[in-house]
Amino acid sequence: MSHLPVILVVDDVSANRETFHELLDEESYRLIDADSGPLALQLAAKTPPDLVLLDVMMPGMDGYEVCRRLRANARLAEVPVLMVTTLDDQASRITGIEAGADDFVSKPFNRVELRARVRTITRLDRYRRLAESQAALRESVTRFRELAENIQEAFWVADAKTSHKLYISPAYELIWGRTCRSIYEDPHSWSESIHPEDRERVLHSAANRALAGAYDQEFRIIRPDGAERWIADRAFPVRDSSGDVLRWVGLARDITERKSAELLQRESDQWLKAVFEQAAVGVAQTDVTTGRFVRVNQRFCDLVGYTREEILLLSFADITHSQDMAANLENVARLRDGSTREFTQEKRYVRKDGSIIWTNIAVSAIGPVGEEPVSFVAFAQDITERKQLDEHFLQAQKMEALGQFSGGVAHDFNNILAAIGGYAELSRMQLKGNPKVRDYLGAVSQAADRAADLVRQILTFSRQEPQARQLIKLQPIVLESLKMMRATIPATIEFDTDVAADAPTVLANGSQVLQILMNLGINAWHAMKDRTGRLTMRLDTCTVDAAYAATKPRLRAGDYVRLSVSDTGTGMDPVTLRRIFEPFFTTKAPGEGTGLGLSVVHGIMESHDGAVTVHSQLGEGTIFRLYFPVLPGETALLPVEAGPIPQGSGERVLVVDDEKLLAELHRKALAALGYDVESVTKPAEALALVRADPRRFALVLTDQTMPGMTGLDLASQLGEIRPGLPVILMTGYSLSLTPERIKAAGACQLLIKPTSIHALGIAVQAALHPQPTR
Amino acid sequence: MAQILLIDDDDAVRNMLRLTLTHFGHTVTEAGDGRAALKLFDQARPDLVITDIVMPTMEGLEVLMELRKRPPPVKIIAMSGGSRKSAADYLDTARLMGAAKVLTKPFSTDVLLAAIDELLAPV
Repeated sequence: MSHLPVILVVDDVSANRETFHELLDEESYRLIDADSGPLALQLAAKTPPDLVLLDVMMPGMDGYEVCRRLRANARLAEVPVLMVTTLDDQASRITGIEAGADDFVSKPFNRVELRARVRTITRLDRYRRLAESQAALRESVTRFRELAENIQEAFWVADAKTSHKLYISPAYELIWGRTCRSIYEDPHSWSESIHPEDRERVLHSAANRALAGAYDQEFRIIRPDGAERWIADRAFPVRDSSGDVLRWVGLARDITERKSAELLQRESDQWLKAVFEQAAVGVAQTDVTTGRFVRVNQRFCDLVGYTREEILLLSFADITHSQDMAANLENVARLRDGSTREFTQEKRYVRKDGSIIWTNIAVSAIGPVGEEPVSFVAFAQDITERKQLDEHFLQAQKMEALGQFSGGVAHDFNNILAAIGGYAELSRMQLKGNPKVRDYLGAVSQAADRAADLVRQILTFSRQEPQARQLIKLQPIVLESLKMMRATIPATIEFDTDVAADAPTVLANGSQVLQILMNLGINAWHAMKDRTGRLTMRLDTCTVDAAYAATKPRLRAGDYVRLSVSDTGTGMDPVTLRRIFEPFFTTKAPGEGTGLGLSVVHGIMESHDGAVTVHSQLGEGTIFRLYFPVLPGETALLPVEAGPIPQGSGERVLVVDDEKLLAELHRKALAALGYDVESVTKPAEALALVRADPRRFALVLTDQTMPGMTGLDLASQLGEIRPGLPVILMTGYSLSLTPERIKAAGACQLLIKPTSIHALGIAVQAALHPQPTR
Repeated sequence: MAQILLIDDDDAVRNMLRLTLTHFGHTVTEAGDGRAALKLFDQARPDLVITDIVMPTMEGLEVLMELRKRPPPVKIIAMSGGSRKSAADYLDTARLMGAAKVLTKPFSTDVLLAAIDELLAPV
């Protein structure tokens, strides 16, 4: 019924309205009545009628006024108005036209005429409206075309059932590199263009989009030219009035650029992440105000020995060594106030286990230049090893300096002590009748002895005072030391010994070894003082391989007789541990120890061509290991002094000794034996002479201990200039070197001091004219 | 008792040794350097020479070299407290040059007397 033309009948007389109802076929029209102008306007506004039958003569608002008001209303201006007049007079018709009426009917009505007029008016109006709506449609189609054909996206419409494209906009040709026609002719070309790796996923999503009610996919296509493009394809359902999906409309966009940017970004992110996590340096980001760690990489966690979770609860200050804190804070303040953007610092971190790690950190402020930094990023490199080497180097220098110093004062000091001790003894001899003063002088003598002993100890660790060594077994010395210690150390300390009876002989000074064992034993006892504990002494043999030797600066690879002294005492922290061999370093109270004990141990082991190592853990105890090199085979090279001294026959010999007079004396001694001798005081001079004329000398006689270059180094360099040149090494501390090392350095003979002219003559003769090996 | 030539550039040590040696009955002539010592040696040949090694220009060793040229060999005790090298380095050379006994300074009177006794004991 709703599509029947609606006629608004406006008349104040109900009989008149009835007449219209009678005249007009109510099956063809829907009539709405209004008995006044205002009501008519109200109803028309509610439901715009297709025609208004308007009586002119009405009380209040007359028909002209109603017509004028209708025309004034934009929605109703076009509504046809058929004005009903009583008289067919010209004046009222003109008024009616002016008011906007479309036509007039006069009372009494001609039934046929009225129906014809009404029918005509309503039909005309419908044609007009149809034409208007068609024009609008044409316009919207044009607008759609313009839109669809000019957008960069491919707009498409697809049948809901077949998924075949009903329409696709020309951008398809640009993006896909295929014609739009091809997709209409071959609907499958759409899915075929999708990259095989993405196809299944996309088609699955398309097949299920009706259920899902949406479709949104990103996928790659392959163009006929082989190029790959990334597409973002979205679609929306179009439903009929019953809600069924008729079609899908979609937009397919070329997102290749965005995707490659994304890929680049992802690659760059991954790269950054890999760099961050796998960097060979620790990386840590800290908060500017609190100093708290915000982000750290695994390497940093490894460096400081905390887990990531633990470290994120800490600030950099929590794990910075107290001695590096001030400098660190100062640097950070400069970063914060913007006076610098970065700094580097060598600093120590205290690891979770309490140990110290040396790092070189480079810290940068992160954030816009000129503004307060947002955060700090630190790169930390482990330089502990380098620092330790530095320390070893410093240590070695310190030892050497002290050695030179003590050597320098020893001469005067020993003379002074000789005078003090000697006069004290003299006085004692003279003062037979005065026992009291004799006692005093005895004390002076004793003090002088102690001073002399101290000088001897200093000279020992600085290797200024060589001691005679001989081939001995260490077993009896270990047992002797145990006997002495047992007498000193209380029973609360348990002794444990494990002495290998078959440990071979070593070249050693027995009393020095005993001194070492006593030093270590007493130290072990002190570490276990006021409690029970166990002191263990072990003697065994071992082989040090190159890998282990590399971890111990003074230990060389080889076979050793090993003496270990261990305790279950307090142990030492890493700081103490690093300094224990330093002369005058002591953990005892002033006056309780000289701080020389362990440096003497160190010096003695050095002079034995061995080494001492130490392992200690706080609270668990300490173990010292002494390594004495095992001598391969027979090593005795001492010539036998028998028969006449062999004489030379003018062979030219070069003597090298840094002490001018010693060099001179050896020159004279050899000259007396019939050799043609030159002497120099610098190893470098010797090298220069031989380099200038490699055949000049038949033999070189050199001292071992010289500043700058040892005799052994000299021998090996001479061997390079002139292979086979016989070199005799003179050394005070007998075999400071194994025969193998000496052989490796070139054609060398070893002359052990003290020697005699007789022995020298034999050695020179043997070096010049080697006997075939027996 | 013996005739001893004592050579040391250190006055305190030389005086102390002279007093000690004379206390024990020896006759001592003394010199503060090698040249004076050789002169004394040539004037009156002693039974024993006790010489320091490290003296200015290390005349002790020069003395030993020179004494080797004056046969028959005289008994020599060399002493040293070390210097740029250890005492042993010097004393080793002294032995090479003919010192029969070497003493590292400081040494006790007993050690000195024992060395003298050993050298002068009739063979």
